[in-house]
Parts: sequence; C-alpha cells; structure tokens
Amino acid sequence: MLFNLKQKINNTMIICIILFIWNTIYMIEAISMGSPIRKGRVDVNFFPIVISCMMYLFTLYLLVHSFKQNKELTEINFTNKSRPILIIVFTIIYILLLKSIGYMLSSILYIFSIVSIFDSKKRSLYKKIIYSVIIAILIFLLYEKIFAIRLPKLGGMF
Amino acid sequence: MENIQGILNGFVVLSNPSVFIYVIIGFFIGMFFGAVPGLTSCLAIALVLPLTYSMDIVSALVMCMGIFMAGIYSGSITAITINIPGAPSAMMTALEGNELMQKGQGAKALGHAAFASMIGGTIGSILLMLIAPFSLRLALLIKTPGKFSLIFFALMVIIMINRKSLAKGAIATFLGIMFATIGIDLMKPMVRFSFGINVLIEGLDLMAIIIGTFAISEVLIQAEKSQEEVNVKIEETEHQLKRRDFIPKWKDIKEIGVGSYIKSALIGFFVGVLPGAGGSMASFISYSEAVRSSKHPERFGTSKTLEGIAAAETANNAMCGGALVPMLAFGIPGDATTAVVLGVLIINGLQPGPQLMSTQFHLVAPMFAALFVSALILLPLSLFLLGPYCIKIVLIDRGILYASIATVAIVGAYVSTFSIFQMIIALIMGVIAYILRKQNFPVVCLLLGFILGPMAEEYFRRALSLGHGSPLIFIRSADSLFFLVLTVVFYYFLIVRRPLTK
Repeated sequence: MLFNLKQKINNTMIICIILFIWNTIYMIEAISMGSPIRKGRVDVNFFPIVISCMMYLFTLYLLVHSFKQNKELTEINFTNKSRPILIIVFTIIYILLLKSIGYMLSSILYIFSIVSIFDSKKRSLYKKIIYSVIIAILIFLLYEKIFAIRLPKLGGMF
Repeated sequence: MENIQGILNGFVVLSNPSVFIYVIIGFFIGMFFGAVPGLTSCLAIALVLPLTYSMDIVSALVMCMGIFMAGIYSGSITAITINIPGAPSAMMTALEGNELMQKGQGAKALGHAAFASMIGGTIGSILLMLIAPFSLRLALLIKTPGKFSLIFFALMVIIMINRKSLAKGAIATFLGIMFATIGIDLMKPMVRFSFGINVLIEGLDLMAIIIGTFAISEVLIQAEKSQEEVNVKIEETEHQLKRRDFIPKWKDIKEIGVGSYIKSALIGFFVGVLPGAGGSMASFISYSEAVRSSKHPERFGTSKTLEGIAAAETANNAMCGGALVPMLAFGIPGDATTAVVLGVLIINGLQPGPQLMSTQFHLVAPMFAALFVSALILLPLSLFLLGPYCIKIVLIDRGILYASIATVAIVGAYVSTFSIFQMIIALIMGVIAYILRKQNFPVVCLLLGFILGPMAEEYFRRALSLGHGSPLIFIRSADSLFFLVLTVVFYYFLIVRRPLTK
C-alpha cells in the first residue's frame, strides 16, 4: 500500500502539497486580520483572501490532475541535484561573508567554488584560482570604476 | 504633430555619441546573451538592472532596447548552426535553419534570418511610434473600474496563454500576487503578511524578485547540465560560414514575398501587444500562418524553403515593438523582457502610463529610436562583422560564465538594496523559481503577478469605494465592461476553441 502510494507521488504533487501548506498559512494570516468587509467597504485582507481561494482551487485541480495523469515513477533524485544544492550553500555563505570580509576576498572564494562545481575539464587548482581572481577584479572594476557603485571592502581596501 | 516632433527629438538625443554608445553596448550584451543557449535578453537586463541606478535613465533605457532587439535576434544564430536555439523565440527558426546548415547553406539561412529580423524589428518599431501616442489617448479614457478590468484581462490572458498547463500558469501568477502583498498595505498604513518576522515589514524588493527568478534560477538549472554535446557540433559546422554568403539574394526574397514579411511583422507586433505572449508565441503563430497560406506547405521543415525562417524571425523581432505598447501606455508588460524593463522604469522612479507618455515623452522617445536603429542598422551590421564568430560564443567555459553571472547577480542584489535580507530573498526566489521551472511552471507569470498584483488590488479597492461597495460598478462602467467582455472573448478563442493545438 505504502509502496503504491510512493509510486503515485510525483514532483508536481509534492509542489502542490507545499503550495497547499503555504496557502493555508497565508489564508490563516489573512483571516486573522479580521473581517474582510467592514462598514460596507473591503478591507486590506479582502483581495488576499480572494487570491488565496483561487490558489486553493487551482492547486487542488493540479493535484488531482497530476494524480490521474501520473504514469511514471519520478522520485526526487539527489545525485544530479548535488551541484545546485552546493551552489545554494555557497551562495548563502557568500551573502553572509560579503559585508564582513569585503567584496574581493568573499567573491574570489565564491567564484572559485562555482568554477569548481561547473568544472568538467578537471583544471588545476592554480588555474581556477587565477580565473577567480581575474573575474572578481573585472566585476570590481565594472561596479567601482565604470559605474561608480561602492562595494563593501575589508579595511577600506578591497 | 507634437508626437512626430517628440520622436524626432528622440533620434537627436540618440545621435549623441555618449548615448548611442549605450545602444551599441546593449546590443552586444544582448547578442551574447541571446546566442548562448540558456541565457536570454531578459536575464541580461536583469543583470544590468542594478547598474542603471548610477546611469542616466535615457542611457539605461536605450541600452535595454539594444539588449532586447539583439537578444531576440541572436537566438537564431545557434538555432541555425548547431540546432540549439539560443533564445526560446528562435525555436521555429531551427526547423529549416539547421536543415539548411546541414546542406552547407548555413550562411544563407543566417543571412535570411538577419534580414527578416531587420524587417520585423524595423516595422515593429515604426508601428510602436505610430500606435504608442494613440494608445496613450486610449489609456486616458480608462477610469478606475476600467483600469482594474484591464489588469484583470491582462492577468487572465497571461494565464490563458500557457496552453500547456493553465493551472500551472494560474498558480505561478497567484504566487506572484501573494508575494507582492507582503509588507505595508498600499492604501492603509498597515503591515500585512509579515508572519511575525520584522524584516518582512519592508516587503519583497522587485529587484530581488527579478534577480532571483531569472539569474539565480538559471545558474541552478545550468548546474545540472553538461556541455560536451555542444562542443562537438560546433567543431563540425564552424568552417561552413563565409561572410559573403550572408547577403540574401533578391530572388529568394521575392520568392518569400514582400506581403509575407509584412504579414509576419503585423502578427508579431500584435502578439507582442498581448500580455505575457512574448517572442516564442509570435514566431509560432507566424510560422503556423506561413504554413497555412503557403503554396508549398510540404516544403516546411526541410531545406527547400526559407519561408519558415522569414516568418518566425520577422515576427519575433516585430514583437519587441508590440510588447512595449501596453507596458508604456498602461504599465502592463507584454512579455518577460518588458516586465524587467518596467522594473528599470519603476526602480528609477518613473511610473509607466499616460503621465509618462505625456509629460516625460523626452525620456521615452529615445527608446523608440534605439529600437529602430538596433533593428535597421546594428542587426545586419553585427551579422556581417561578427556572424562567423558568433557560434564560438557557446564554447565559452560554463564555469567562468555562470560564476560571473552568479556573482554579478548577488552583488547586484546587494548594491540595489544594501540589504542582506533582500539578498537572501533573491536567493530564496531563485530556489523557488528553479523548483517551479523544473516542473514546467512559467516563472514569467510569477513576475507579472508580482508587478500587476498590487495595481490590480489598488484599482479594485478604489473602484469598490467609488461604487459604495457594490461590485456592479465593474459592469456599469463602459470601459470596464469592455475589458470584461474582451476577457470572455479571449477565453473563448484561447481555451474553448484552442485553435493552435490543431
């Protein structure tokens, strides 16, 4: 029984379920603001409640539709998702480091990590570091020198 | 007369080398992004968006026009040469284009694609110059209930146009509208949907949404792919392109027919006017019409005809002009790229609509001129000068390319908001868009919902206030009724009859 259910669940259904949960949280927040119509006038939560109802309608439709249409097993495969997941992790680290250690150092580390993730030619470490430094400098020049936009710097230098 | 003067002034402004250089820069950026499969003109404008803060608004807008025109056109280069459309709008061009390439006539196909793009882009720009002032007068006639119904119509068309999955289009649009409701209410000083998180009070920044939806999600999508297949195809085809063969022969143009070019340009332009339609739909409809009206429909999809390339390329470049009409007159973007251009206007403090067109026409006119010059001069010139080298663009190292895009995107989110929170929002939006794209949800709908949602809500509430709470105001008001009827008409033609599926 459990195996059959697992076979029936595909990625679209998972998204529908997540959207359903998000929509419920949204609807609860909207309802908690009070009555959507006050003194004959629509209030701040009226329009969001309408949108939320529409969202329920279409999410349920898609859920039922994809359940009926589901012919093949499409489990989430984490092996080909490892590169996007790594990029997300490195981007979070980059965002957190950008202000504290400055643009140049954080960007070199970030670019190096992305180049390494995409690297299919198995380049040497030395080459990847050179590429990372060059790209970081070029983007720095684009923002700071051409468009005069200030970037965060470590000790006022880079 | 005033408008003609205004448009001529636009050309004068554009002739200033300090402005014109931005059209050229934009054109080359667009050509690069259009030619590389996976990258689009929309992504290019999203990446340069933060830079427009420090630029003169006219320079920023003309640069966007260069990117727009070149991005749509250059998708045909890789579509013809290696059968991988650089931009989605070049999908139809690949059908005959790559057949010709395999028969050793790649340069001829590229030449005709560029010529058709030039004709389409030029006619589209001229129609834009003629229709934009007229649409301004129409926009002035629309009152508050009508404005809501117009946006309702636009949102419905955006949803209905996703013929593959109506529900997915609707869900993406509603998700965009929901994200737009986060933060302080438009009409009352009251916080909504902050879910008890203080930083959400400021709402989600348009820039973060654009960068996340188009730039970060693309990097994540590309991280799953490999490049080996592309490299082999390029090595095989590189030597076939000779510059002198790019110039289309009069005999071939006559065979396609002047009328066909004009018809395709008109189809492209008016498909562009429709909200959410875009270049892919323009080229698809135009191609279908070319097959229907051709004396030799059996030749389509083979190397025996150039009609398909001409129809698709004329239409998708004519779409550029059409897509700008609703964006400028009503603030409703015609496609994803104009949605991001709308972001450029909003971020720089300009509100599209009748006021922009009447009081700040001097800022808009150079845009029209830039679109025209990009199509008529830069487009054929770029093919002649850079055509043989263009296919090499796809050889660029993906690691370097996407590391640069990811860094420019994140730094762009930082410099436009100076907020770690908005950078995180950009990343979260990137992840959401990545997941949605993997399941074929149209993320363009999400962006359009985010932009149009607050406008729809504002006019909806204002109209109900005017009607003392009665929704009948939407039927009593003639302009509003017109758009509601139009929605039903579109529903009939796009959903009930579904002509394109045949």
